[in-house]
Amino acid sequence: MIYEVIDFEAEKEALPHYHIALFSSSPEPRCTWIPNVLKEVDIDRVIVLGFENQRADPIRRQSDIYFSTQWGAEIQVVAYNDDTPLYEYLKGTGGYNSSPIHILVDYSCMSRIWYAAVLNWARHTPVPSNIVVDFLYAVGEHKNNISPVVIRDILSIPGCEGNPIPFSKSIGVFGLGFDNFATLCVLDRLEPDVVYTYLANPAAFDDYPERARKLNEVIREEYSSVNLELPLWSVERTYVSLTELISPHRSEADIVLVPMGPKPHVLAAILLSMRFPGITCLDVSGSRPTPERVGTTKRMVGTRVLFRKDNTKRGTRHLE
Amino acid sequence: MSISRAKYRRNLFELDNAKNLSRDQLIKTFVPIPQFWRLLSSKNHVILGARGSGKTALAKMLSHDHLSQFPDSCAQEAIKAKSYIGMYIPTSVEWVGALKNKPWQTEKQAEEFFQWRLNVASCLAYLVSLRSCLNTYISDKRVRAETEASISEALGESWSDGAKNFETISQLQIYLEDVEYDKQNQLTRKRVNGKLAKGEKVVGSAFENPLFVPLRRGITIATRMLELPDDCAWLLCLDETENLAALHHRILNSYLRSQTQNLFFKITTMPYFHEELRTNIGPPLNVDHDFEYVYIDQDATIPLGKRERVVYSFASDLFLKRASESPLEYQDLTLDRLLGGSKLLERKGAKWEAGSHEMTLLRKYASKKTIDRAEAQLGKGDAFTATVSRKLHGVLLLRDAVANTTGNRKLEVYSGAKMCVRCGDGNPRRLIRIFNRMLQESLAEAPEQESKLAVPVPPAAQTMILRNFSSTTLSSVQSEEGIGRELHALLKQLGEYMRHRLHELPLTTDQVFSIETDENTPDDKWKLVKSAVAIGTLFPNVSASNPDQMPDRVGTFRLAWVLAPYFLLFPRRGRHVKLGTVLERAEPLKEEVSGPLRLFFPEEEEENG
Amino acid sequence: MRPVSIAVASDLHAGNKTRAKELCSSKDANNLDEGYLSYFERLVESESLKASCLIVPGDLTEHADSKEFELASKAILKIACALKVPEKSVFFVPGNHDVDWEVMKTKGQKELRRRQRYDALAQSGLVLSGIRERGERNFLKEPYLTYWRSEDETVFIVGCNSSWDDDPQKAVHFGSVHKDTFPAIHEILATAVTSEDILRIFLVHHHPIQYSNPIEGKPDFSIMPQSQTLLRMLRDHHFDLLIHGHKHVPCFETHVIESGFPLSILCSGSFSIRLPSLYNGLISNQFHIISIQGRDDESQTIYGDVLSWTFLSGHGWLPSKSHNGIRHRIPFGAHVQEEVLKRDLAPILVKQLSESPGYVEWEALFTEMPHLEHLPNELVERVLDGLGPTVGFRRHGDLPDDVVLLARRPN
Repeated sequence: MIYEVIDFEAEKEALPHYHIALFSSSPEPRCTWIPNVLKEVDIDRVIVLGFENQRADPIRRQSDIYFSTQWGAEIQVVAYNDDTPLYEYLKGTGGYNSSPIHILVDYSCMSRIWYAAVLNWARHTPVPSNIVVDFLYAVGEHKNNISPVVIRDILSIPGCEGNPIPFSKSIGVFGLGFDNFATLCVLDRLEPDVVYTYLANPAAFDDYPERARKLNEVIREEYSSVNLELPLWSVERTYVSLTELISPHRSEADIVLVPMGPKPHVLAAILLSMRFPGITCLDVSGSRPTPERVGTTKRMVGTRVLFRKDNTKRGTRHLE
Repeated sequence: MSISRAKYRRNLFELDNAKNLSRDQLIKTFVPIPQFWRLLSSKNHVILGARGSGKTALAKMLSHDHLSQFPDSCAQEAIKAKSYIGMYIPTSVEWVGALKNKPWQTEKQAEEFFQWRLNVASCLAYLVSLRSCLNTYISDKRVRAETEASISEALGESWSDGAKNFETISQLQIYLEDVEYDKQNQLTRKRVNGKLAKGEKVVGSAFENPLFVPLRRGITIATRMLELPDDCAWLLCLDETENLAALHHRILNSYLRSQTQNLFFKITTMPYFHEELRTNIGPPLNVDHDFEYVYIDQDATIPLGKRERVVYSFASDLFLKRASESPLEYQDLTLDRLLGGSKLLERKGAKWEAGSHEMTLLRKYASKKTIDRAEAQLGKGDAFTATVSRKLHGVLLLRDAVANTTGNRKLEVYSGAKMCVRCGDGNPRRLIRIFNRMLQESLAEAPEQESKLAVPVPPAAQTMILRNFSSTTLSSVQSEEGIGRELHALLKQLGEYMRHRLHELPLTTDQVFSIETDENTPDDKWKLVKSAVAIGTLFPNVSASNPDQMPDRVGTFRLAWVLAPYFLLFPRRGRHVKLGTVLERAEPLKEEVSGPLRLFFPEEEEENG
Repeated sequence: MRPVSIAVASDLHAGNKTRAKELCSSKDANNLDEGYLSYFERLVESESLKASCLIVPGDLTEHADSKEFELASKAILKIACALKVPEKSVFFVPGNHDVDWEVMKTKGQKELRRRQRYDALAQSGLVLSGIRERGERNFLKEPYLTYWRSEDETVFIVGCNSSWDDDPQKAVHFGSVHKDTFPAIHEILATAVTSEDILRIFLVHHHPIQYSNPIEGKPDFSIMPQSQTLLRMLRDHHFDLLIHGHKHVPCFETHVIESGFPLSILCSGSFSIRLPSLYNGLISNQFHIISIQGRDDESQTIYGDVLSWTFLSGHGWLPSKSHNGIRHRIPFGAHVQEEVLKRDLAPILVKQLSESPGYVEWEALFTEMPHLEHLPNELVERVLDGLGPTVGFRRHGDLPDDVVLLARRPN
């Protein structure tokens, strides 16, 4: 079970020896920044994931070469919504004698399905050790005037299916970013009775919160009962605050999280959904006509998730 | 961390979605349309309606726990006679999302898992209705509790393979919810570890039965213990089935095709989303034999001349019912009082005489042919009204208003109760959202020391609200699943074509507000038209003789009136033009970028910054 | 005895570990809850809450510096004002965080440092100094004890400073009672208590009973070492309530020691510390009102309810639920042994269930057995579930408000 979620500063702290590290090669320049920072860290095994459909992209090719030459790792091509290979890579990690098992994930450019698989593995593996997963995220710079995303699919993140049985009301918790149209689209599809929103503040840059507020004015002003502003830099704070936000509704309503903002906020939502039964977390995937080249700001967000082996009967929503 | 609350207090108008209105609120605010009573029958129906058209309200109201509380004589008669017992299951985005996130399943595994989950969901829906039946048909508290205990015990034996004892419906509900949750967990665990743990049993094996067998067992038990009549029809209302994949539909179709006995289906979906009629057991479904369509966006059996009155009456009822359930300040409010009259849609005070303002506008904006015809008909009473003034009055005013709105002047013509209702397209969700925004404005405008509402809302404010709403509706299309960009581009082309004709060319009595498709319409465009109908941005013209039949490629479709304010169009049926014609003449549009919603009105854009 | 309401807000932790902006001393702190106390005022107004007195069982600050005490002092006044509690009816004791560890870490002059460790707390001009001065003794000096009597003579509070011996060197910050405290308590109670009816409250920061930790693998070692002696003494002197802080996991229980006088113990949780993610979903910040409705004529035990509210992001203060750490309403005051209750209830239930209409509503039994209303929910559930098979009934519904006992039909 998820035991604790703690913020940490990877650049300042001494990092442990990792049994496995997962990176991702992508057309976003920031995908190599964290691996570069971590060159001296002691890691047993490095897996580098990459999407099939980006292989021809010139920046992606450069990233592939970087991982090959600097880390000796070939790119493992995995489909966006496929988590099967992740379980193969993680099998046997740490063996039965290590405690805790340390895993590092740079999720800056990863599919949510992939890093959710790491969390599912940590929750369900029969290995008796405690597990620590360090998530790192390279904070990116998002230009103004990006083309709107067209939704490709909406599905529940594996392990975050919740328990969508019809209660008397449903709660939609929307994490807001810069894709306001897509958010409204999902809102219209989900039709929740009560809407809450949250956006990043403080964020990567000082003007980002106001930009997000303006773009999402319709949902914030006309649909939402509560608009939280939570730090980009603290997944711990976001995780705890979101727990409190949905607390009055636990065991009484369908709760659906729709994180469409920055990835640390997505991670917080996934953790919340996995921690408590009955909470769904959706993945809204899409594509833009022109891919967004997210540059790096050379800052990162570090989150440590501790798992403890739980021998008690798993919790249902009714055991709370 | 900062928190901001919504600017305005929530009120019942914000609860525009029936899916999650509390039961009592939905019952009190429900306005039944004629199609609702068709559904209360021992037939399979597929209910077609655009997003927000009220399908969920209909499906929920058919469920026993809602219908039994509905203060209508027909409904009460049906309940008393134990003729129908409705059950409600939403196959919502979230529910289906937990099916779609398993791409590693084979088709057979996906089918079995869908069946399993639908078995659990149908049993849960059944329990809600069962509780309602117990409360309705057994007045003695003790007998009711004992009957509940007996039924629960019998169901528990079936649904848990005798593993557990149940005494109450609540216990059964908790058990089923836990089974669903445990199943998902077990599947994840199996993937992580490659197999189940030693000695671990498969969760919920009782629901691995063929589709609806557990539900049927429940129906049999309830029929016996509640002494239901043999002809009692159990109606399973499956809502939002547009979210299901083709293989799911084939499974459902197979069940519909085979004998359903006393179990009937009311399936809601969006127009053109019920295309999969194949089954897994041979011939496909036969429309009108295996099921009937019921189209709810429009009632083509109502003569055109009466339709506006009927829609207005519906909207007014919707408003009044919601207002009566809302805080005090709304309770004496009517649409007319809130929004006033509409200059464009009402011809009050118009004097089509020689030298009148209306004739001046006609001469200014109309084509020569139209002017000549009008002058020839002037003074001929009904003939003039039918051929000229009725067709051109509002259009001329609109054109003139737009032409004169420059600098600091604000457009005011998209205002009035009739205009708001018209722009709602008869779509309950749209109507409620529009009403809510108008109410918020009336609250905001009210001086603090006087009454709590400023009525009527000023026309300029109404216009801004409708135009913003129109803009939001259009902009959101860009992100629609799969086809958003192309659909948005198509709607913009259509709207821009119509705007150009209305505001830049000499006016005639025929205004274009519809498109025509035919066998030559390319597949990709036809696909967009269908999607536009599904989300309520185009509406098909359906015939009175076949009011539930969607055009199959050959047909005419009018632009949704909700888009009229954005494109500065006059919201009326109008003439149609071939889709190909519009597309040939349209200029390529620049790529829309993400950003604040922009109104289609350059001067206003500068004002808003 | 007149009804009395005791408001409890513990462990404010004014400083850099609080979640409330009004209690934060750091200028750089981000992500604080704005309007934390305004939300509290809103709760009080919407629920028309009132209290006779306000109790703060320690850890007012994080580091015991003057700025933090100022903030805590202001916050306490604001809470009291919202509840219409006069300043004279506000009481507190120091906690382990209210000792200035920076002073104590200073090398040399150990005795001087010990004397200086409470300087910030004792600074004048704060409501805290007024509270301390109104006490009949001084809890900052040996025997680290004081007492107050409310103006209307309804409440008598003994305040004990269990942090007197704590210092930064200790690994575990358990509290302790000074050796001279016990005789001092005897003396106070022999002379200062003028009415048997008066509500007797023992106020201390640390806890004299062992609690389980909701977090597995995190045992709690901070129980006071002299707890057994303390509890016996409180029993002997018929103390009604013990209110403490320190543990941020709220809890309310009644303890009967050696068949003596029952002592109700409230572990108050924390009003405004930022709780670590370890406790996420298990406990939240808490505020309580102990509503004492009266004293039983026969047993002389108090009875009433403990009401609790929790603070949740996005919502402000709401009635607490189990998954926030404690239920909103916990009745207390009736003390019956399980077997005795079964024996007394069984014939009543047999009689009532055999008559028409063949069911009994739990609340209807209160007229015949009034003390049932104040029994702990868990005890009632155990008794009813135990009696069900023998008497022949089934329980429907949830305590405390909605239970029906239904006679089983013979097979």
